[in-house]
Amino acid sequence: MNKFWVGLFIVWPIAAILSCLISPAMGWWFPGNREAATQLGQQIDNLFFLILYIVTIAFIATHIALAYVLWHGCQNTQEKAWYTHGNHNLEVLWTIVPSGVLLFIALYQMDVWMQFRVEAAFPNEIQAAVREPIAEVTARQFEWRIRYPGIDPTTGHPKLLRPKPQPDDLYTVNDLHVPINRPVGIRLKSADVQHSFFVPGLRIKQDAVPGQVIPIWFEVMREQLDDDGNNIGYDLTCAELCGWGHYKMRGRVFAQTEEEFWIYLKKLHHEQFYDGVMKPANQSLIQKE
Amino acid sequence: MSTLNPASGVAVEHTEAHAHAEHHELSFLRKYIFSIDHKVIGVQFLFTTLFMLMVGGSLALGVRWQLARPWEFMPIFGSLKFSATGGQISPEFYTMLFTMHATVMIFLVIIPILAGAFGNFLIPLMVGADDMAFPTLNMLSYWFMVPAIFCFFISFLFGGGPAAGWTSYPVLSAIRDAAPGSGAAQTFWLLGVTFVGVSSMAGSVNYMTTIINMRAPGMTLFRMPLTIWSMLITAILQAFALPVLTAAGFMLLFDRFPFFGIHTTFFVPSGLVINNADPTVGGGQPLLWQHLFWFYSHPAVYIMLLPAMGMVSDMLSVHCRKPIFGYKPMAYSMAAIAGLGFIVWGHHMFISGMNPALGMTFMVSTMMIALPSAIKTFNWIGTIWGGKFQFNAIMLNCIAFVTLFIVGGLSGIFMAAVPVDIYIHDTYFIVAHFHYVLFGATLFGVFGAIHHWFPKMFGRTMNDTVGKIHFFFTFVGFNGTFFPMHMLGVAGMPRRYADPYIHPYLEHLLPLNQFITASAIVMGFAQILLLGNFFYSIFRGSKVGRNPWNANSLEWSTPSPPPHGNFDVPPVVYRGPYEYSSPLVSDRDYLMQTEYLSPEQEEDADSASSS
Amino acid sequence: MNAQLILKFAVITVLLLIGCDAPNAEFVYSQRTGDLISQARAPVEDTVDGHFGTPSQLIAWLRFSDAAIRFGRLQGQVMGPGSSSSRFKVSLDLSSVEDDLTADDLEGLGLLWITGKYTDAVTENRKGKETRIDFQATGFDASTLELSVNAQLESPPDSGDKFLIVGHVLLHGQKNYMHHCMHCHGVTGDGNGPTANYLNPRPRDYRLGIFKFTSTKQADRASRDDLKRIVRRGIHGTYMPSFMLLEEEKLDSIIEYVRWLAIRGEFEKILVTELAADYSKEEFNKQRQRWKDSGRNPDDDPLNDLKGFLDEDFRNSIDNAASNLDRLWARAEEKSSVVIPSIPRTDPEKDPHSIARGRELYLSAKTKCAGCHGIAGRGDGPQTESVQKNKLGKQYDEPGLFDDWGNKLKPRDLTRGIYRGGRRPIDIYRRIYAGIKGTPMPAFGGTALNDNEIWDLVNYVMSVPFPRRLPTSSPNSHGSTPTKSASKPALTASRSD
Repeated sequence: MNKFWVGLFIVWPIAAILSCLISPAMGWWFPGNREAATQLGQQIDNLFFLILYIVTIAFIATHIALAYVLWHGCQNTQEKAWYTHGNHNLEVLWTIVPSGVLLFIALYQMDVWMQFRVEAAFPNEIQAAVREPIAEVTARQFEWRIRYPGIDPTTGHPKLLRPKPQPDDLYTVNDLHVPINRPVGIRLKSADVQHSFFVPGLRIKQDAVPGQVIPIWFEVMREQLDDDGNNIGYDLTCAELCGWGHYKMRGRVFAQTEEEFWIYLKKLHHEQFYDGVMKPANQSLIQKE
Repeated sequence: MSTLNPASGVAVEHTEAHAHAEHHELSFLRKYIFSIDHKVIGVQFLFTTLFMLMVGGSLALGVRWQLARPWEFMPIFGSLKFSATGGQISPEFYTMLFTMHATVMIFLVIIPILAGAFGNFLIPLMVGADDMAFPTLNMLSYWFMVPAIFCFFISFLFGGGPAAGWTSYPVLSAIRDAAPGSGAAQTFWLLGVTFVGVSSMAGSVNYMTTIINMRAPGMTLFRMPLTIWSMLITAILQAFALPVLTAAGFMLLFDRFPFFGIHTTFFVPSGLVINNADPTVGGGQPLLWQHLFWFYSHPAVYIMLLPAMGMVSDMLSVHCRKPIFGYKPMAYSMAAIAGLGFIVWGHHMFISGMNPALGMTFMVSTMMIALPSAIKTFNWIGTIWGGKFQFNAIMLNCIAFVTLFIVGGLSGIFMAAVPVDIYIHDTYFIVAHFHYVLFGATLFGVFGAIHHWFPKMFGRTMNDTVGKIHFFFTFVGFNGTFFPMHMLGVAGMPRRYADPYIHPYLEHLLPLNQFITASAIVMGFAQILLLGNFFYSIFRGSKVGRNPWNANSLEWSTPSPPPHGNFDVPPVVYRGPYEYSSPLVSDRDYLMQTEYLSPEQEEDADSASSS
Repeated sequence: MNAQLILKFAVITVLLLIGCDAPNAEFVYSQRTGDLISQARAPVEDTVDGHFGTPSQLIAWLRFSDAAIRFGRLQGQVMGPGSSSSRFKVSLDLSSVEDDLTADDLEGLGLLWITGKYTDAVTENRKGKETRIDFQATGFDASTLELSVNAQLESPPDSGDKFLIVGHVLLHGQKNYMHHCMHCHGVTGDGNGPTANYLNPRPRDYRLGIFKFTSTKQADRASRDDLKRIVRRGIHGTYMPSFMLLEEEKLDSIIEYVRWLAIRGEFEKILVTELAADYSKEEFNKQRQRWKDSGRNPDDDPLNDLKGFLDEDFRNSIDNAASNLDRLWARAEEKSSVVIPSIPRTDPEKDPHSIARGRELYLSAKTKCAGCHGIAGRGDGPQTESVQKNKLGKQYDEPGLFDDWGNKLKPRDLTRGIYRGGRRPIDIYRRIYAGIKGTPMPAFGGTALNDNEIWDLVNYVMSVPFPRRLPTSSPNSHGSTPTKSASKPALTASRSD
């Protein structure tokens, strides 16, 4: 019977590790099994894997030690147990080594966090992107309301997004379009309770706090295509309990090329000011393509 | 302090001992219901918390059922409450399920079973006192659980139960119309939490006073069993952290209702329109609640862990017949965990919108709190190292504690790393982590403790074979349920979702969720074995004497169960509690704390061992 | 064994017994149906059930054309015998089905023979009476192309026999509706799901056949495009969320099911309305009292009248109701039902007086907008405080504005910039032109206001959230201050209503 129990405590860690190894193949891993589509996301993934390797080594080492002591302990029927109150050197060793490892992990990633969240530490082009956000996303029960700035008739490009709504702002819901390959900023607000802007494929998450406007920046590196090559965008979902419809807040961050993004905004503009009569060519509010 | 003449073994202050050992005939009510005897109170807590464990577990099975068969007929809950829709639950019912599962488990099971049941039962016995410092207060601490349970129960009847999560974040919990369950149900929830807080506070005052003041002669701090160390440190944690939660709870209550004409808006900013009500008139900060709440709730998780750590240390030592490896480091580590535990609360709030600079400070402190836990883990393995034991139910549960605590602790490192936390916050990775530490570690430790101290509580042993079967199915079911949740978290599955499968990136996770539900059902039903064993053995278990495990600490020197007043003779302590396999005695492998060895006997042993 | 253990097992057993029995969801009947006397209520309920079925057994009443309700028809042809007496090989026209068909998708769907020997197949029921066989598909095996049906066929159907499988869209719609919509809108579409109690405003009750935010004329029903628009975009300012990303095919099927629920509700309403005049409990009791007072003449027994009506005329009522509903719902799909302005929107940048003119119209006696929406557009006009009459002329119990479902309404606060029916100019145009169905918001188009005037009003409405944006060049200024003295009589005139 002893063998059975020691076996259990050996088989279970092995099963755990095996299940981790097969997870990517089974799809129980990062969304789409792909690497993150933002540089920040890739740094997060690298950090995740670093910690995973360290943790796996610790897991295996402790379980080997555990299996060893269990095996010998349950086999011991004759002698008295080993009378010892401890070992000072070991204590020192296994205090210093883990603290070193932990401090290393803590300090190693400080700058990733700062780069993402501490405005003073944003690189210059990011600061520009944050000052000129492309959209304001307001989370509400139970959808994402998106407000783009209106289009400047003289340049054909979006104006600067103002904190207060403007008559020519463009509105849509649940479908946030962003251009790829440049830093974009959005402003996150909440209309009612706390929500959280979570885009797994980009590794972005930020709580939307009522009463606050929080800037988020990211740079999407590629479009998200399905197997047939269609652009399907990155799933956007809510990650802070906001009521009964918390799970219903299905949105999408649709990353597309810069040109497609302008075209999208123009389409949005046309749709938003559609009067039932005018045809696409007769958009009086836009004079230049 | 009474002087005890070791030679005669007779207490000089005879009368004092007798005064407490005298039984005044008490009515049934005063003896078993409204008792001030810490042992009865401890057992009352144990019965109540075991029952609430079943309630909390059933709520969890409801959650799992929905995730395995979304929007299909749900057994029991569907028939009782949703017959109009064909047994399909509603989304707000789901939010209530996980809210109440967490609330019941945290406030009505884990905290009371560790501090209320085991703390109460063991502390006076282990320190050599005849009862707690304030026995009547102790009784009240149990009876305050009753209005708490009543409030939580009533909250189901109004608005279907609170639905803002056990974390009860405003604005969702502050505005009565913001959600189903944010009405009267949330109010009753807050009242329930307040009553539980009072119960805990009364308990912690008792524990601190008893441990500091009422130790038997000879029991210095460093001769206390680690169980007592853990209870002392836990009591200090409770005392310092709980008032913050209570204050926050009252602030939220005042935000919800204008009491005495005062309508506060501590947590509610202005201008929000929720459910088409009038815009809020506020100026408050939702984040304030989070700071106050987590200032308590982070120490709370150590309140939910440390006593189990202490008990497991003791159980391992007893059953491996070895001293604890590194007693002082173990004690200091527990103190370090508690101390550091007060400065890490922000790690629950990395993504919350608080100042990101705080994220960096909390990250460092959180990383450091892994250190004492690691030290303890190594010391547990060191305790087993060179030991001599059989795989009985107690050892199995304690070993499970160690291995599952390793997983829980290691998974915590991921979320301590702030950038990684950006991704895994509020996903199932977090759920996996805290279930590994709260269930995998604490609850398995509790299962072991139940088996280990049952003989002292009831004078009989539990059935070890049933205990092992219970352990096996619980262990397998537990890992089948919670290990895959790490993968779900990495896949980005958020918490608290009634139907994750409407999101395309989560659709393929249904089979894994179904596997988890199946494991959870196995694990849930296995608990029937424990309860059956427990209650059956109270009446029909094999009777035992004072010290069935041949253990050292003071409680094993009393009859099983101990009488009112505990000790026939006030004990005197001569050594620490971990002198197992001591060379000082050759014919047995334990040496009780109260056993007096004359200097000649010790010398003999020394020379024998050195020769 | 001790008492506690036994008790524990007993409790668990009882819970499992209660818990494991799945209840059936049922459609509910309207309150007015419940107010009928039982002799009138039973035929109504039976008729509705007979033509629409129960949630677990839906009935596709093919009386309705595809334009009204698309139940989903799959054409098929027999290719040969199958592996048992209830199966045969088929080829199905799946061009209208987007996803691959699974075996379950066809389960329970009705099968109609178009050609072949089973078209008029009858069987003897238990009472010995001959009835038509109700063929149902019970499954489809895509690998062997075998269709299984619910009957043992004495001889396999001939190759080349044609049939129709009906209802896959409706069934699919029901499944998706129960997942996404039922918990607010209810099993019957009555706006009374479990979550509905917590929502303000309450979810739509489809059973009046009325939807508020449509693109069709005032007398017309909502079109599929309207319903799709609402589901896709949600209704900002309410708990109707946006299902922007829901797959197209799921969305289409949900719309069909919602229309079906609406038509079922309207059908019930029409039948009940005919009977309620005389046979609601209140009315019938009065009649019965009169009959009793006048000596209980058997020829005058009101119950006899009812019986006569049910025997002779009820069938016509059913027929007419179905025809009308089919016609109305189909007509909403036509282009001619859609409200389209005759002129493009007046550009407020080019014609800066448009907003000012709109403001005047807003305050005028012709439109009386300010009477409900208030002088500043906050939805606090004097009508909200006076007692109104409903469509039948009966007064409401309390002051204020009510919709057809009996909910108290607040007129839209135009300053917030939240437009439930859509924020495009055409949407606001349609609200003014055709009104908001089911609410006191009247229709001004084609009669009271011409298109120029409506566009001016639209421009004004769209400017209300931005008071500082109004052009200052016009002498008749902007926003909040009424300047013309004509506006005062407009207010007093409305107050005297």
